[in-house]
Amino acid sequence: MSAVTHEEHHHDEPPKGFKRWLYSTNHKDIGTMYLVFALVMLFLGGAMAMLIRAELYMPGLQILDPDLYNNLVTDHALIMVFGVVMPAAAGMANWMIPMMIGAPDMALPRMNNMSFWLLPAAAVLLVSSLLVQFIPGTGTPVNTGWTLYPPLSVQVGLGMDLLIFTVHLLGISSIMASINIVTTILNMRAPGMKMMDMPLFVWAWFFTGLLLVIIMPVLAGGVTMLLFDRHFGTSFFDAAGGGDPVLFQHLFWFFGHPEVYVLLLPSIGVLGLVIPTFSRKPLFGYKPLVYFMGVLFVLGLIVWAHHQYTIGMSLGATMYFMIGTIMISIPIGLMIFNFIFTMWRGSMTFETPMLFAIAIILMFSFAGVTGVMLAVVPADLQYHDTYFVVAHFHYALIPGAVFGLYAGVFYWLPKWTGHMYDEKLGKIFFWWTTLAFNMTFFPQHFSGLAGMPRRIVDYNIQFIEFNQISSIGAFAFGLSHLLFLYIIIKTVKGGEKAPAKPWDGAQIGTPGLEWTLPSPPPFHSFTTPPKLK
Amino acid sequence: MNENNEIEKKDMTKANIWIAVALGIIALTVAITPFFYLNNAVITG
Repeated sequence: MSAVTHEEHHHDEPPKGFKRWLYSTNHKDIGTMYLVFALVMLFLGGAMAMLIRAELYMPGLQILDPDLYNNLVTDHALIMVFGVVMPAAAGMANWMIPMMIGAPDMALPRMNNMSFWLLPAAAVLLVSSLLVQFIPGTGTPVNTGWTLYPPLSVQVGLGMDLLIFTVHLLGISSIMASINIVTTILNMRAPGMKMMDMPLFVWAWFFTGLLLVIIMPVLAGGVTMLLFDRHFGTSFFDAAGGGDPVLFQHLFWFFGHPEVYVLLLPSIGVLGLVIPTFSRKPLFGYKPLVYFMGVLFVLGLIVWAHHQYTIGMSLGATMYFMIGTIMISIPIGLMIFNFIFTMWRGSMTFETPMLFAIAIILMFSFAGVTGVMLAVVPADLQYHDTYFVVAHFHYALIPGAVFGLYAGVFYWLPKWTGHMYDEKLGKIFFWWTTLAFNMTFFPQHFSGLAGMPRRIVDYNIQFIEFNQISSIGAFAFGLSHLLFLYIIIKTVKGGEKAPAKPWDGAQIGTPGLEWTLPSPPPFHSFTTPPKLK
Repeated sequence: MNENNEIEKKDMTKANIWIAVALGIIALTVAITPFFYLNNAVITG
């Protein structure tokens, strides 16, 4: 299975001008657009984070009024989740999955085009929802946080309607993208490639796609009910009319908790490629890793209410959600052991993707530990809505999802661009961003444990040191991304020519076909199905 | 394989569309379920 003959490359040129991008049905072009979109949104969401941290540098009101502050908190989260991590992971899926499984393109290329082009429209709506507050008479800004809980979300101004439509567009986009990816994986594999032959990244996206198809519509339905409550006289979430605001929380978190795995799984897939490559050893326990992802898929869907311990559920329900949540640490812990055993006695080298992979194992495990703390009901009642939670989920999502994407970018940049990136700059970026990230979020565990509440513009003077360290770390973290941008531009523009297989250990134990193509791959690849040996 | 020792392309268009439709129906069903869940939501206006 490891060798393949790829006999022909179509040398037809891509269309010229804007039509190439606007009408594109090519998985590589659409993948590139997803990645560029995510990078642009990373700077937008990052700029919001900088404003938030600038405000929190000192207690009292500095540069933002409370409603605008909370609107920025809302939009920062939505942008980072829906505008950065999901599009970047979808971009990698678009680029890599067809090449890994030997398919000529995605199963539904036109739908692929539409999935992407809904995103810029959603981004415009989202930014409008932020800006509309500056027009007089449009009501309160969207100061709800990304959870959009009623009754507040029923009361705020026009920005909320724009945000609801944003969520609709994002939902349609990601459901279509997921359907496309799952269909591609099921139907478009090269003849002879079985499901259990697929690289882990493909498996990760298979589960991610299925998860999104199940959860995303629930959020879309929930916000539509919110829209009805706001404008059409229903009271789904209004106790006065026989509704229940807690219902929205259940709908939101039925989406929101599995969404965490939607963000994590593609990164776990990247780890499944990067760690064997730079350990020069086959992945330890490939099949168990696939099964663990399956377990994560199932458990992720049935533990959502651990975000809602404080609403006063029955003891039985609380126990169920607590035990279920703690059980999640089993498949995740086993995955981490598998990755460590893959490295064990390997011929390891520490290129930038591998550095990120190791950092993920260390720092994501830390988020796992605080996650178990938060899963325990009596403890969570203390931590709820404090900065401890903010620290926990940033440790989960930045190493768990974003660093996985960085690892993927550095791992595949030579394949995408045909040039090797500057390894020295890559390593500087790794150390800079890792140290700054820890400086930003580690102190927040302590301010949280000491009782600093989240989503409030002001804070008690006792938290000043922790917040100043956090803010300085955040500025350094933000600044490091200018280096990231520079490395990418430099690699796209030129540099040492990358061979078809730029990493010694690539493809050890993984049958992915992407390395059989030249770097960069031709515009159309695998137009004739490859022969697997 | 055909006589020229090439793997023949299989047209997967129909199968692709069927899977997409099936997944789309799942998505649509999940989306509308919450609307039926709360049977005491009333029009207050």
